Order: sequence, then structure tokens, then C-alpha cells
Amino acid sequence: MATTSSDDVPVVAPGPDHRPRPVPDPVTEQYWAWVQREQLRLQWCAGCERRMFPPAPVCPGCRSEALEWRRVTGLGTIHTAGVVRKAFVPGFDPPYAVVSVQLAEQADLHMISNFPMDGDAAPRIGTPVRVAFERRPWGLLPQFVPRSADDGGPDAD
Amino acid sequence: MRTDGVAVVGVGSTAIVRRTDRSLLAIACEAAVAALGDAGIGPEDVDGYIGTPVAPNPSAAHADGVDEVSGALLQRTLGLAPVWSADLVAMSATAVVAAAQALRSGDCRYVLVVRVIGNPPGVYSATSNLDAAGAAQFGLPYGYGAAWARHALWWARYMHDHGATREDLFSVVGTGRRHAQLNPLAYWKGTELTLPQYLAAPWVCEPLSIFDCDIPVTGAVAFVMTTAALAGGHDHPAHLVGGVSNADPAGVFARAGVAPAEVDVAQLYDGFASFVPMWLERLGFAETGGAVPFMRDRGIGLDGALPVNTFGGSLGEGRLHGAGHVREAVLQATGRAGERQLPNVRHSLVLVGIPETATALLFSGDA
Repeated sequence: MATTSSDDVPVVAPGPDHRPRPVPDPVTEQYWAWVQREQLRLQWCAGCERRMFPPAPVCPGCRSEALEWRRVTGLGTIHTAGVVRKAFVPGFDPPYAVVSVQLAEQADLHMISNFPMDGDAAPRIGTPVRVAFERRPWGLLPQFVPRSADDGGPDAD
Repeated sequence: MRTDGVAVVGVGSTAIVRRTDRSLLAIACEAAVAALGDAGIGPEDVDGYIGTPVAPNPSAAHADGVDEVSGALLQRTLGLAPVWSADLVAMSATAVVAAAQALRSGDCRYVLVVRVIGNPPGVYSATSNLDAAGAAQFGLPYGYGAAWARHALWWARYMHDHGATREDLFSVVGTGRRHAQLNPLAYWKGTELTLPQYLAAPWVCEPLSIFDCDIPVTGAVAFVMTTAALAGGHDHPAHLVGGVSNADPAGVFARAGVAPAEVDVAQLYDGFASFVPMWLERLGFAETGGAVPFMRDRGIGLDGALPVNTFGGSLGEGRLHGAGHVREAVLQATGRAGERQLPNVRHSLVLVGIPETATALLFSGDA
């Protein structure tokens, strides 16, 4: 479970989990560190005024390495969705839905999430969603959940 | 029409089986020796080598000679002594482009190109790895696999945007299966697939079912390539008239000086059935959203406007990661495709890849 150390740096304590867990690397560790504080922050290039996901070491527009981790609202819509019906991944029992969420801030920001199925069918494309944070034994994982269309999130930076 | 100055002059294939007790190294050697024999050259003539020794499923082991076959091991085993050799992390068509470059540079006279692929025990694509590193850290913790889930979601969006249906995708799967009946090597030869059977098949990741995924197999394909100057001395050269490697595949037409409408037959990589409509649009045979009407109204069967995957594709033949597509493009260009041979093939196209990295080659039987 996520704990917070005295100097306010989030620490992910190891724990048993039967599902794959993210392995942060030098490019992604800030993303996961912010997630442990229940904040969805993506890289931002001030020069190109663009956000990036998945994390990258440089901005593809200008090659700048001066990228800020800026908060996004966590609002979006389901861009596409499917239902996994064959077991491939440890700890996951089909059927379950996987969706790709298009974030409100920028059309090319797409994040994978689980999502409640629509009965026995895939979630509907276009469904409004907002980010939430699922607690796993090792820490927090961003997930997207249904929201009403006028449901606001935190302000983006 | 221009030419790229090189030709495929030998093709070797092994049987394609689901699994086997034979070693992968023995299978690779069989295809290589067959290709040399088809070209009418000896091992001593081979001065270039390129392979794509990648076991593509994520949980595969990587023991040389068992799970994959390196160029060094194959050369040692067959007593080859090339002056240039490379192993690529890429698919077979990309190796053909690299071989063409080695030949055009003047460094090599005969390049051997080898692809061997095995099917390890267990559920293909299943993983037991609990550490999701690299790109997988944003997918596997959600039970999302980089291939099967990703392409299912792509097709779901395509269906949503363009009103495509499962019946529409059956035109890819059913056509491939029908063509496989004319391919003695095909895994699915002897097993027809009807629309009701297709619609009743178990899902992998909805909206893709098991029959929308090519079946993992074990087998090998090898090619001998040479220069245009030497190709004339061989019985059935397939001249490369253009190739673009891991770039915009539609660039092959400008490179070859051939228009899409001049293509007589196309082998389009179909590791997932949904790739075929994607390639038809990316190559300019159809406009965006137009692939389904193209397949329905113009046709991709042997009698269609654009015969596609005439050997069955990997959906019909088995999962050789595009090596079967290259083989068929060469055979069609040289009139050697047996019962499924199309008449008057002047431009034989092959595209092998995934959305980000696609390689397209255009072959002709004419120099």
C-alpha cells in the first residue's frame, strides 16, 4: 500500500499481488510517483505547448528535455473499448473490459483503463469518464470511471 | 517501371506444423538448403546472410537453436562463410530490403535470407510475468496485451466510425481460408470455414475472435537473392522493383514508379484480420473507411479486382510473421504459385508489418 515518508516523497511498499504491476523506469518514475499522491500528471513541453503520454525523455517536437510534470483534469471519453474473453494475463478473470480513454486536454493523449462492462457488452464509445485511483497491494493505479457529462475534475495546470 | 537492381532467385520452404519434436535449427537448415537448391547455387556461393531470429510471443524463451536461430549458428551448422551477415529485429520483408542494399553496395553476390519461427508450449501470448516494464507498464496492469487487445480495440473503433461488421471482417478470414485450400503448405488446408462457424467462434478480445488471429505454427522460409546482373542466369528471378522498409508503405509506389491500380496481386500481412482493411487504406487502394466496400464490391478473391493473400495469408497458412507473404509475392511474380497462380502477374506487392513499422516490396517477373 502507498505510504508517505517524512519528507513527503511517496514510497511504494512491496506487497503481494497476483496481477502484473508497473515497473517504473527513469522516464516514467515521476508519473508513478504523482499517481501515488492521487494526481494524474503528464509531461508538458512549454516550447511546443504540448502534453505527452506515454512519458518520453524528450519532446518529439523540439527535442527539449525540459519537460514539466503538469496536472491534467483526468476527464476524458472512451475512445474505444473491448472485452477480454480469453485468459492471457495472470490475476485477470475474463470477461473484463479494457478501454482506451482520450483525455480532454489533447486528442492524442490516450490511456488504457479497465471499466465496468455494459451488461455483457463492451463499454460504449464516447462515454464520459474521469480518473480514479485503484488501490493495489503495491500502490495506486490510475483507472477511469463513469462520470456525468457535467462532472468537473480538478483544474489542469 | 524501374528496378531495384536485385532479384530473388531461390525460395525454400519447410512443412508448416503446429508443433514438432524437430529442432528449430534443423528446420531452418532445411529451408536454407532448399532455397540454395532452388537457386541452383552451392553453400560456397553464399557471401551474404540476413536473418530475423526473433521469437515473437512475449513469454518465449530465447535459446539459440531451440527457440530462435542466429545467423552465426546457422552459418556454422551449414558451413557458410559470408563476408556480410546480420540478424535483424524485424520481419521478413525488412530483411529483403537489407539484403537488397548489401547486394547493391557490391559487397555481396548471393545473400541468403532466413526466417524460422517456432510455437512454444502453452497459450500463445499468455504471460506469467508480473513485472510490467517498458510500454507494458501502461497496459498489463489492466490485463491489456500489446497485440491482441490493442488490435481488437483498433477494430472496435473502426467498426464504430465506419459501420463495419463482423460479417465484413469475414471477407478477410473466409477469403484467406478459401485460398489456403489451394496451398499445399497451409496449416488450414483441408479445413473450410463458413460464416456461421466464424460467427460462433470464441472471442479472444471482443470484437476479435480466435479466427481473426493467425494460428501459431512452426516452420521456416528462406530466400536467395542476387544482383540483377547475375539474376539472368537463374531460372525464375523475381525482380525487386521497389522496397520501402519500416516507413510509409505507400512510398513503394513512387519508388517503383508503379501506381496502385497497376498492382495485380497483393500479400497483406494479416496477423490479425483487421490489418487487411487497414493496409488497403494505408496503401491507397481504398479511401479512409472505404476498405469494406472495396472488399465487398471490387473483391479480394482470386477473381477479384485485387486478389489478396492468395496463399491464404497467415490466417490460412499459419503464423510465419510475414515470411509466407514474401514467398507468395515471389511465386506469383514468377508464375510458380501452382493452382492458385494468377494469369499475367506483372506487379506483385507484399506488405509486412504492424501499424508503426511496415515494409512494402514490389516484385516483377520482368527485368
